[in-house]
Amino acid sequence: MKKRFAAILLVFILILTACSDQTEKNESDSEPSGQDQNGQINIQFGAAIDPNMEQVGKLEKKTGETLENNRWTKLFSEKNGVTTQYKLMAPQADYTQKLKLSIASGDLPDIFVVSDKADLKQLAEGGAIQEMGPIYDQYASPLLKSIIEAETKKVFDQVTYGGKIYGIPAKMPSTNGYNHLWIREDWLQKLGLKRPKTMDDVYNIAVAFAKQDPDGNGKADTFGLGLHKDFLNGMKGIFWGYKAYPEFWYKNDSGQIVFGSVQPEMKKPLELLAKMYSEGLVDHEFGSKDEAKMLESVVAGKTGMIYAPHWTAYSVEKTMENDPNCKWIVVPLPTDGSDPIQIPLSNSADGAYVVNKDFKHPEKLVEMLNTYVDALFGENADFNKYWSDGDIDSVWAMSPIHTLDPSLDLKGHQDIKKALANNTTDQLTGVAKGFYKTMQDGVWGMSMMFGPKDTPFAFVDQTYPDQVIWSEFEGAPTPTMATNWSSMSELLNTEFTAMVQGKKNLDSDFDKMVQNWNNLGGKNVLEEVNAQAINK
Amino acid sequence: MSKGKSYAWKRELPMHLMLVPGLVLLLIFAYIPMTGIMIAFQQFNPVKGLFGHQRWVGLDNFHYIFSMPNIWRVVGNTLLIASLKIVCGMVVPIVFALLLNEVKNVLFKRVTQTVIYFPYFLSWIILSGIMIDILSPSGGLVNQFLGAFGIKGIYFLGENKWFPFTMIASDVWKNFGFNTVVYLAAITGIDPALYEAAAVDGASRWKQTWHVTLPGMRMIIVLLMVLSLGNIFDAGFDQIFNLYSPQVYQSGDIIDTMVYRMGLLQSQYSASTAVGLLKSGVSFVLITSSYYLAYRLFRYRLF
Amino acid sequence: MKMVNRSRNHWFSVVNTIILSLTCIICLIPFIHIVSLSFSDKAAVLGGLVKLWPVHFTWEPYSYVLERTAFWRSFGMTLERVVIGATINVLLVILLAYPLSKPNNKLRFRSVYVWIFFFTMLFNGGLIPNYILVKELHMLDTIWALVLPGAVSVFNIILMLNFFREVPHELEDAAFIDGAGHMRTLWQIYVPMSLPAIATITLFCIVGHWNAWFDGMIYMKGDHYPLQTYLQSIVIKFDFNTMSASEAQRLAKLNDRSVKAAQMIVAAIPILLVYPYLQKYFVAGIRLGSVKG
Repeated sequence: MKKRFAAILLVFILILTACSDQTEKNESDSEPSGQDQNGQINIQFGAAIDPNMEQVGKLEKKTGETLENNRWTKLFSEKNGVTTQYKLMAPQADYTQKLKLSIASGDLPDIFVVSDKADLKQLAEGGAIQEMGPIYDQYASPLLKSIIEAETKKVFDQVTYGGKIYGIPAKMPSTNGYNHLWIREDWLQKLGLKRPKTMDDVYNIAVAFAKQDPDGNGKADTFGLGLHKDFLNGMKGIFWGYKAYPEFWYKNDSGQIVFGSVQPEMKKPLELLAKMYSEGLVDHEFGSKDEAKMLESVVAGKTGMIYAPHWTAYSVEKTMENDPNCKWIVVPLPTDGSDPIQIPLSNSADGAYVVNKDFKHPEKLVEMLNTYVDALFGENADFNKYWSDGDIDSVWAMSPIHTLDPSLDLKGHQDIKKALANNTTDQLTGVAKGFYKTMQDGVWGMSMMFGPKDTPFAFVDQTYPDQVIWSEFEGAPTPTMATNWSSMSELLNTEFTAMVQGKKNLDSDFDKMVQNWNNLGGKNVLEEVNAQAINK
Repeated sequence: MSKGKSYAWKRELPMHLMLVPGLVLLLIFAYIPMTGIMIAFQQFNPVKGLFGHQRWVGLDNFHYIFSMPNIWRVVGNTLLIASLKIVCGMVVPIVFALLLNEVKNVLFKRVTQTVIYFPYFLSWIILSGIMIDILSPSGGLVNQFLGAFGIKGIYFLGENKWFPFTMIASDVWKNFGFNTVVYLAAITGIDPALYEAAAVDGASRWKQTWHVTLPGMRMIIVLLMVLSLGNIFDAGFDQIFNLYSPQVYQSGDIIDTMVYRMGLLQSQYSASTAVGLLKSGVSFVLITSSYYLAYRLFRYRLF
Repeated sequence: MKMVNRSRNHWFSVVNTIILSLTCIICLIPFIHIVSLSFSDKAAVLGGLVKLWPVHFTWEPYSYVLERTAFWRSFGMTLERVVIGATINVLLVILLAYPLSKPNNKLRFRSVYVWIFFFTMLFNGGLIPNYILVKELHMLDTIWALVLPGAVSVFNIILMLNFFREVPHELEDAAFIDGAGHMRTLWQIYVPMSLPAIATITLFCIVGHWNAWFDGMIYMKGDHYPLQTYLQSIVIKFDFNTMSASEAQRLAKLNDRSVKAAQMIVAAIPILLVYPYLQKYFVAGIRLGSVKG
């Protein structure tokens, strides 16, 4: 009997030792980071890459390349003497969580990406990462600088604490922040309507789409405008038409930085939505439906007008499979007056790259970024090799670091448009060549986004960057924001929804709501944000 | 005398040894990490590490929680939803276990038993999409069904008076099949001789259920009831997070969803640890007192 | 009189069958819906046109899943975890529940032990210390990080010890007179007599490991995710508040719900097969019970 006991205990001890054995072996496999070996430097990266992504598996099957050993890592090894290893690697949402734990356990990678501004602030103020400003100035190539600072120099606001720059933004096209008006042109024609120019037109089209049976099935089962519970964020275009800029910090006429969601300009667009709601032009269940749910009615051919970002093309293109006659177009955002539309944008970035305080070669980060932009956008670039491989179009993201030319998407559109006009599509290069090929392959979504006419980027081309207002506040949350912002947003979200549903009165309750918002901390936040702007 | 004592020890010793592996594992994986509770009394800065020089703030984090606007409404929602979930989550599986026990056809019994636990394996992210369809006031299955009885479309997910009960019903629906398993196991354990004796006395099926089956399950029922008190503050984050919206915050916002939104902007380690500690403390008091109550009233020793 | 009774019984069993069948249907609806999605054409799924029957039937999602290496890799990870994890769980539950099922006078310090176990049910240190501990034990990114921290399941122990208490004392006393020690009594009397309970708890442990996803996300690297963590990462919900534009763009592009549905179905099949298998032991329990009487 005692023997059996001993056996069970033994099993336990074995289990415990087995697991420590296993990890020790794992660790001896990988060289300690930063150590030179054949002149190579081993760097442990933290990157928000999803290793289970379909494209990763496809590439491995096709060329044998893996995330730790592919054309990018080879390039970095040749040009920068860097061996790529990953200490942290997970899909974006998980990565943020894992990084927080990494921070708390003091076990950070050498070079890693941080997208949560509160995390970045803690890292910078806690001295866990290095100051990168001078290193960037010294090592960054003119090309890298031109790309990162292409839109505004404010891009560094996101990574500046106490006057020091702590990271390098992974620049992305800020045109991602656009919101577009998508309309079924076949419905417009069927009902004999013109494309909308003003907000009144939008309303009239919504009435027609809802009441005049555009799908011709004899039932009143269509909506005038797609509406969902995140309309404040997801349907900004309707607000922009009234010069209202929800969820956005901008300077008002007197030079004060203000928060768009609580400005009186919000009333008119909300009034329009409330009117549409009361007249049954929008889904009465919008309050519990998210954008994806709303898009179902779009694909099913029950909704013919939506405000949404350009990549919604990937969803709306599916309408064609259910209704081959359908034709989606994007029209320039209508306004309620004669003033040209203004597009409020924030500097778009996939977070920022930072360097562990104990890592001895911070310049490697900048050198690698130089190599990266050179391979994609430089004079001797090999765009096709480093951007995609056949139908695997995210090769560019299979690198431990990345940063993109913010005009990438727009340039793709412009080049294609020009080439089509001149009949020179066979001479396309770079981004445009890739885009055009995908369009030729029959990916409708691509044509709907980047095509020459009636597309999101045709509108971007008209307005970017001349009609863009840049955000005045992109830093970490201020002290009051950190503690009170969630209750403040909750108030706004609840009230706006109730106003659209007609449960609250816009005229009397809007001002009350703003008052409440200020009492909840809005006043402090405004002061803090304005003070921060002066100190910068 | 002393010899007898050492003999008793010797007899007992194997039992103590049996406990050793479990105790060691608990010490390592439960008690050592409990040092983390101190985060609730600090202004925790993760960069400094768990044992770094954190700033001690006493009860500030608790003050902060109780000064949040709407905190009491949120606590009330949590208690209402959680306690109804506990009660319904007990009663429904018991009823089903009894009903299933009456089924004579073995195949039907097995199939039913298997099928009712299907929903348990679907996550709320997936179920939420389906539920929005099924519960839609305009074309959802449930409302079509109610419409047949002349009941007008009910906006289950969008109206404050319906939302909490929708959460409770759907939670019970998702989980009852699984709990039924425990009660069935308890019923299986009842000595068939007791039924035979009852049948000889002329007791009907109903009487047998009342006088044999239920008393035979008594222990497990009381046990699960006491243990489930530990969930009195768990109204179900995954479920509510995936189904709520600003329009039902008033009746549907619970502690966990509030803490989640709080933490979005700044990593509020301290506040969320404090919330966790409060939840544990209250559950602890509730469970221990109900344990003693069960012991005093029914002479049950549950653990 | 007897006739009345019989017809009443008959009526009861008809009503009972109807109630149970209806419940089954209600429980099957979401499942049928997902199966339908998994056999439907992409566009029909995105249009919300698929309800309880496939629209434009296709096998494509399944052939796609079959080729998905990431899916099978995480599938293997989960199988490993279930086998190792549930074995350890159940062994520990049996081993710990036996001494704790004894009255206080038969096991010294019993109440102390009980408190030690009970306390951990309600209090825990939170995420950060657990992560640091696992890291310090060099268990990050290994199967042990998924198996050992939750190895002792106090809830199941309490359940088990209550079942153990139902075992008649006479059997145990007889065994002792025959010279058996506690270890032999446990394995030769208690365990065979409690098979339904052990089957239930085994089911709990298997399902617990199968469904767990959070620890996988915290402790494992992305390419070692167990199945549910992987599924969680593909059915992620779009959130305007937390998601960057490029992430949103990527998600929009990969929005293929029929493939997601197919992966969920394939992931659910093994666990749905476990239950009917374990049911065998419930029946076995009845037989032993009748021996007891």
